[in-house]
Amino acid sequence: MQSTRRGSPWTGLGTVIAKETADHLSSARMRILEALVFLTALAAAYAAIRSIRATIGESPFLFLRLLTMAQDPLPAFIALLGFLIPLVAIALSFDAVNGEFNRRTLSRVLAQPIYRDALLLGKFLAGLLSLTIGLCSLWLLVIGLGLLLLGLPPSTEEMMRMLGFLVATIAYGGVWLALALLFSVLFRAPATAALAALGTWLVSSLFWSFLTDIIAALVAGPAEGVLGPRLAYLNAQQLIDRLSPNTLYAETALALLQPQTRALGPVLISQLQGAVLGAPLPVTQSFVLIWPQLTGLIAATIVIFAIAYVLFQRQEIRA
Amino acid sequence: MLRRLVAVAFFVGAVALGLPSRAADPSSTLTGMFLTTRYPALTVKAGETTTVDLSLRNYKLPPQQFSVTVPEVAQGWKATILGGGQPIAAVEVASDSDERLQLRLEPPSGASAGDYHFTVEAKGEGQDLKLPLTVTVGQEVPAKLKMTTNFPDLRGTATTSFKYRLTVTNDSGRDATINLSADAPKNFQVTFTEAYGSQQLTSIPIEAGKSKDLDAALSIPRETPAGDYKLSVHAKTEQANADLNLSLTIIGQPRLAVSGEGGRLSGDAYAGQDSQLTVVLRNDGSEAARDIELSATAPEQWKTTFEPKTVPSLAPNATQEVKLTMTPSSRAIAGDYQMTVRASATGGLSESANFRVTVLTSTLWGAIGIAIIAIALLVVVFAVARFGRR
Repeated sequence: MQSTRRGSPWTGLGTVIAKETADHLSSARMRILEALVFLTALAAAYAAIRSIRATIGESPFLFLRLLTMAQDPLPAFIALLGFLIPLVAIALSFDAVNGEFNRRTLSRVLAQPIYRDALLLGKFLAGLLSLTIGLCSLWLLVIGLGLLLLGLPPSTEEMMRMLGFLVATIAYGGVWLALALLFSVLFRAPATAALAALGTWLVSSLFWSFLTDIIAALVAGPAEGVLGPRLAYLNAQQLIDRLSPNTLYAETALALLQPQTRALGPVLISQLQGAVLGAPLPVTQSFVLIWPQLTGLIAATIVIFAIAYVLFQRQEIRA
Repeated sequence: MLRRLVAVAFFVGAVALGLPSRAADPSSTLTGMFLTTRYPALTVKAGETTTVDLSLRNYKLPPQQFSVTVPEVAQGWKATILGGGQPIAAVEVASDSDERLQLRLEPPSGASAGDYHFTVEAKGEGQDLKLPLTVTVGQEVPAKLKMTTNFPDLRGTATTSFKYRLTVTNDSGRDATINLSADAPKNFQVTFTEAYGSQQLTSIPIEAGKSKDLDAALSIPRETPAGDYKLSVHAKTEQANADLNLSLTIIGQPRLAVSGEGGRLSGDAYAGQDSQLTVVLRNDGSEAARDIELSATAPEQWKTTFEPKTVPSLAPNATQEVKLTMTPSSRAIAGDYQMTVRASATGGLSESANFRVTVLTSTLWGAIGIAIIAIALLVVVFAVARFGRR
């Protein structure tokens, strides 16, 4: 039934990326989302700067405090990003495939010398590129704001940590982008796809912690034993918690932006004996600490994309 | 019967006690008026006003009035009779009592040595009492100072605070201000303080014939080598001086210092793997430290070994490097830990230093993470190959 195809499956990928990115960047939807993210994130960073100037005299990681410090009524910069980035990513790709279906343009596009492979990957990469452009400019804006208002440059270590944080944020956005793409392949109606993606987002950002408690108690028994908290329960809870990309991203941001973070799981008292508390971890060790989380986010992005790809390839697209 | 016996015994005892006292009282037989002094011939210092105590006593006579004069006064001297602190000319003596008077003798300036004669006369009704006195103006006692101490030889280490207790006696005839000084080896410092006081002194006034206790505190450099040292302290007035030789025995003392290589007190170690740290022992003291034992207080489940484990002897100003091999627990969390390295030597000597060890975890998991991403990409490539359509 299948015949071997001629040429690379990625023929026309560049064209798709360029066109899709141009569409994204000039769309009103993207502008509204960017305005939302920029305004809230900059307000959070500005509030943090004001609070730093008022309260902190000297700290080796002043720039990192810019991103982690929360000042009432605004949450911290990283908390805002963790909440809003899935929204942007979902908005970018929830109608990527089914939108083409409904406009009856898909068969027209595929009549061109472009494989489905290139179309899907191009749409995904274009979404990722738009997200990256937005995040990079936001990141630079915050650093510029910090330079201007704090009046001192970030150290090399701070720059490395903030770069790692930027990469983690993009990977986190990639997961939601791939998920929304999957739903857009799965459901023919864009509204259903958007609802499914937003539902997943709400569950993982708001209700996941309740669910983990219940599931961990079912799997590993009660939380409290005779001698206090039970390690088996804690481990099961953490394992389930880490299935959510929100948890992975929060842990990555915490370990990278708060250098004194030494461990992300339950720690035995015997492991803390002799430890100098509050001493910052070397930057390489912080990366070692969050490496599983970061690779998990990236691998999850790729795997979800692979599922979307397989489903898309097996779909009937003549309409 | 018993009571009567006791009463008789009491009476006899009282008589036995009373009789001798009554027999010994001379005033019972003596009557008349007497003018007396305790020392009718005395020696005084040149140029000094002398006061002679006189006593006019009335034994068993009615109260009488006497006029008191000094008819014989040595040339140039001035004599005044004082009663109750005032010059008087007459005195009334009650029956069976005495009146105390003073004779004040003021010599002329430049009175030479020799004997001077005076007579005091008390004249009453039908009585003329005369009391001759001889005052000798003597030569002044030559100025003399004496300085002594009970413990002239002290012993201790270079960090001991040494203190000599000195007694300075002014044996001359007049008050003097004594200047204090000391000759000590170079860099030794001697400070004088009053005994039990803290105020430092350079000179001290001492009255004639009196003595004072002083402390001479000695501060010496910590690096002073062991040995015997001599020093002398001097007390000096314009006329006299006194010296005292003191000695000091400094015994050697080892002093250990523990540090890292180049003074660095930090190091890195991988969790679950051996890593080396160089500990430097130094002896800053003045004597060799013996049998130095090394030990480390590290977090639980860490292994630490020293090579060598003990250092038999470490000469003064010598250093010795010791290799510390430490193995953090394989479950150790990355980050900084504190470890105390302690060196103990004979003689209760113990010194420690805190090292900060940064535990690093293996980057093996990094490779595994990259492998997971590679597998995910392979899945995509496989999917492209398997499901790719024309």
